[in-house]
Amino acid sequence: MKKKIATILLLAIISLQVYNIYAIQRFPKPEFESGHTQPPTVTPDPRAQALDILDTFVLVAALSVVTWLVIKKRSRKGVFWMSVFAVLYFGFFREGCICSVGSLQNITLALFNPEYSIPLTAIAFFILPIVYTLFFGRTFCAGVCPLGTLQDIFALKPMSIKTWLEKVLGIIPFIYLGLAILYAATSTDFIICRYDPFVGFFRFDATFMMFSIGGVLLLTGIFIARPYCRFLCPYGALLNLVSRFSKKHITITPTECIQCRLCEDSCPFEAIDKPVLLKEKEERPIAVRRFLMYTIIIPVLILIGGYTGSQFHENLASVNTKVRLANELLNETNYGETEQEAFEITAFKAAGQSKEELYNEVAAIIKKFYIGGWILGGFIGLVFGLTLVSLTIFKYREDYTPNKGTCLSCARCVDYCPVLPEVKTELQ
Amino acid sequence: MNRRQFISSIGRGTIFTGLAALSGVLIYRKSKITEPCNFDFVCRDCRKLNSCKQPEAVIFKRNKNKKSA
Amino acid sequence: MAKKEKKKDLNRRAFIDRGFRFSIGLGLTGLGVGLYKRSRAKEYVWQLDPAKCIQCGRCATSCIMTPSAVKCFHVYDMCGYCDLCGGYFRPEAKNLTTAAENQLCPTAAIERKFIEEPFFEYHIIEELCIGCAKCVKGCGAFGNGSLQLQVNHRLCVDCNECSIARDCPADAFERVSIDSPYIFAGFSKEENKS
Repeated sequence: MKKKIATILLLAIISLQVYNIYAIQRFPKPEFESGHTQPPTVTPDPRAQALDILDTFVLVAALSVVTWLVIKKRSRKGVFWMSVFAVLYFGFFREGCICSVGSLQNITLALFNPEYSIPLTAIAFFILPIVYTLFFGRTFCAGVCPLGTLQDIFALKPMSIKTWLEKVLGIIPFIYLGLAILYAATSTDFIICRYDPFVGFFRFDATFMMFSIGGVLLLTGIFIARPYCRFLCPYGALLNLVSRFSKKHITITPTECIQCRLCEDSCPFEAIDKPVLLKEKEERPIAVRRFLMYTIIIPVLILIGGYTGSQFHENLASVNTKVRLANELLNETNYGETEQEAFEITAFKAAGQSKEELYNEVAAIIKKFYIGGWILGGFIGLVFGLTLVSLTIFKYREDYTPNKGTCLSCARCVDYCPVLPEVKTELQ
Repeated sequence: MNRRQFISSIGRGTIFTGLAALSGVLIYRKSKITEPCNFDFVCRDCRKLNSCKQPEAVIFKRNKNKKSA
Repeated sequence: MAKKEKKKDLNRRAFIDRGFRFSIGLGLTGLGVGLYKRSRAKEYVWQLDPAKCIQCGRCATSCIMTPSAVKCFHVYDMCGYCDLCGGYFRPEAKNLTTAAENQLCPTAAIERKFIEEPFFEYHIIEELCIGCAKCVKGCGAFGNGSLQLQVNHRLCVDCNECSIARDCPADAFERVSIDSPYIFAGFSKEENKS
């Protein structure tokens, strides 16, 4: 009898075509006569928080060990095995998340959006490698970052590339950094995570696109060592700047350079600066004039960059989902779908927000992008200017030294130096 | 200590202070975020609403104020 | 002699320096631990709000996990234990048997058990569920809406930015407190009264 009633009720509802109304008690919960007890809804707990703390501890430990291996032990072998560990732990075990490279977006989002409760691990993963870099150079890049170490293991037959190309490509990370900050600050997207090329390998699972980008980078990396680190990584760009102020930094020779030139071609990242002799220096007045000229050019470049950036602000903003929605609604393009209403538009109608409200919201977002466009463009102009200026500065140096900015502290060059460290003759 | 080292140490100090300030601000802000609330349709009138900072709640409060005004 | 004195002096200076650094470090660590304890409870995880969900099916494809970390959850409290379940049977099902051609679920992840006339209990086999939301749509349209999509936190790796959240047309994904990591849509007050 009850079954019949239920069926009739159901049929009636179907015929009424009541659709997509959520959580309506159409059928009351039955009272069982057989004494059946209802099972509970199973809700598995999130990952234990202790593991988050463990991640931070492993980060600190790995950073300390790599730093010790690089600065004190000067052991390439040790750094290599730490790289393997990093790939295994931060890469395959933690599946590439959380990583320091992406954490800079969390920091930006938290700065611009005080309501966002940033995970403490994200703060730790952002700050700690920078602090270590500030004191010991980019040891994080050498053996802790899973993205870098994965490529490092693949760097089998490194070739050298032209200096000018290296310089030009070296600007890309800063542009990427600027874009990532712009998109995180406007809470639009985390582009570093979205275009992370290796996370697909770590998870054994990615779209074809991601696999091919990662694959191409790894294959290129066999010949041009660590292409992502040198020519894309935005966090690397930050560390590059910070590392220039580092207190201690890896040196090629343990004591004094004997000018044997054995290390000259040992660096796969072209991060060894050759000696600049006084003879080779330009005539001083000419150099000063050139330096001054470029310094005057910088503000002009910033202005040009800023103006260009602001002209593209609508293109930049179109990535934002709300802006896209407003565009699709205005032009009635329905996200290019012809057969049915796009899900986004269905959801917008169901949410009950009026079009005016949406347009107002979008106008505010676009305004943010206008300001952001100026800043981003200006920043890119500044980077161009500084790169130009850096080409004119010749620091006098006698020995082969690692470039503090671009050196990844991988300790490969150390093995090429024939000079033995001073043997400590202390009595045991 | 030569001039280059001096400049470098000033730079290092500045960056270090900056980082300390940044992490301080972030953690302080986080510790100030009040009790988390899930703003959904059943809790529109709950007492947490006033302190609720979820984006939907902020919009809801704004609209509510508009209507009452 | 003078050299030796100088060395001693340097040592003392180095000692004071080190002590100073050490105490600053200790203070900072203490401060960090204190703040850490205060903010620890405010960690968030991703979750989807069933009230906003429009059952588009993107949860099945957009997640970085395969199969998706979003699963169908059965809120037994809301289930009517219907025989003719809108989440279990295809709308065009010819007869109400458990034969595969009658089932709505593409992976046959819902099993049902006869309890007593005319009630059936439905159970979701988590390993088979792909989070496609077909049953959720069926149950929401014809039944009580007791089948709901949720992020299964045992499977979710809690990405920095959830890739489903990015693709979700209804903006249904949000960060929720780790203390109450599941959101189930209940009956709203009006319906309960009637």
